[in-house]
Amino acid sequence: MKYLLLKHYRGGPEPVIGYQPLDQWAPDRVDAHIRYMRDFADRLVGTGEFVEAKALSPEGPFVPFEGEGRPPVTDGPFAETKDLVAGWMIIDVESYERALELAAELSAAPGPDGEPIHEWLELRPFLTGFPSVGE
Amino acid sequence: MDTSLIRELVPAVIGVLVRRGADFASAEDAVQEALVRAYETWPHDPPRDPKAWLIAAAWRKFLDAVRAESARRGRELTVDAEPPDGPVPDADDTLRLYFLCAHPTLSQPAAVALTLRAVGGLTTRPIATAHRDTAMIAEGVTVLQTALAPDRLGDYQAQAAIAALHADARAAAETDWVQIVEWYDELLAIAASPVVRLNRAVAVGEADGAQAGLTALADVDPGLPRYAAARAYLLERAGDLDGAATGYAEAARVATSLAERDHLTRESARLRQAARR
Repeated sequence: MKYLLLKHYRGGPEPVIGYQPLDQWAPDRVDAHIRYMRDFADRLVGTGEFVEAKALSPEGPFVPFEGEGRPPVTDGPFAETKDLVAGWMIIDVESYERALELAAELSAAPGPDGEPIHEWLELRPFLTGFPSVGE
Repeated sequence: MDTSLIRELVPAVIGVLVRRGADFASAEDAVQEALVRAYETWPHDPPRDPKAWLIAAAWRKFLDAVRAESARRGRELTVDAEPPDGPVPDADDTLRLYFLCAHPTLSQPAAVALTLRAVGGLTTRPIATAHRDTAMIAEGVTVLQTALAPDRLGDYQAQAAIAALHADARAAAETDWVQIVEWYDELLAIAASPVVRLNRAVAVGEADGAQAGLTALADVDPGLPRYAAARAYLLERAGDLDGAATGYAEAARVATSLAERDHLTRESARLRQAARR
């Protein structure tokens, strides 16, 4: 079963809501955070559960269709970033429980104080075209 | 004096000179002059590497000849004539010359004549005697020269010179930045582009100090990729740690790859910490 792990800029639940941007952290905390992400992905490659991971540029415009032959008038980018997607990872796992477990593990990446940042991760199952039958 | 060795080397040496930008006739003249010098010096002072010796000597002769004409032909040719001395490439160009001599645009007699001259090392006269037609050889030489040196003038050569200067340095600190700046100046004169301007500003920062680099950067479009990173780097070297930290954070926001973004974020974090001390 494939799942999309969506990472936003929204931080985590109270009381650890929000934290300074990465470049304001102490350098060794930055390293630890980046290393955690990388090690996590490497481990999933090892177990065969890793499909893909991508990071996104922090901002981009919204683009609507404006009518045939008319150039789109873009909106944004917006200053409010917490709902924006920062990046994603796609995993292919045995069960929903395993997907939850991995999402929680990724959310435990070390923050500016070295403790887990507890950030929200959105877990979205892929539509595979086949009903997924439990045992 | 091993004449068979020399006959073997001459085509390869001509090939190297042509590839470096010499025209075929001048390359041949230069090699002839180098051979005269070889006959004078080799008997009492044999070179360790005859091919490298011949290439160096012929190249010098070629440059001398070009310099004699340069007042008339001006700046651009000077650029062309002065690629840096580098290690002699180990590759033998003979095979390449041979294939070019068999270029389909050549008539068969011209191809044969040209092969005898360029690869076989025979001079024009015995070949012409055998074929009784120097025009064919001239035709072949023109084709050969065009094929070997498609864009020998201009930005290609300046870029090659810059790459060679970087390659020559065992470490960034040992780089000949002053000469690199000179080549960027040449490059700007031939083919100005925002990227060349940005690269030049970084080189100026190394050659003349970070402040000079920042001044040079004032001419560069700030929207250019890596402009922010280059500016942050120069700010750090100029001692403005706060400005550099902010600059690196800005560069991280516009980075186009995750590896680049991670690196720039780290640099920003490092400088914020350094600025706090």
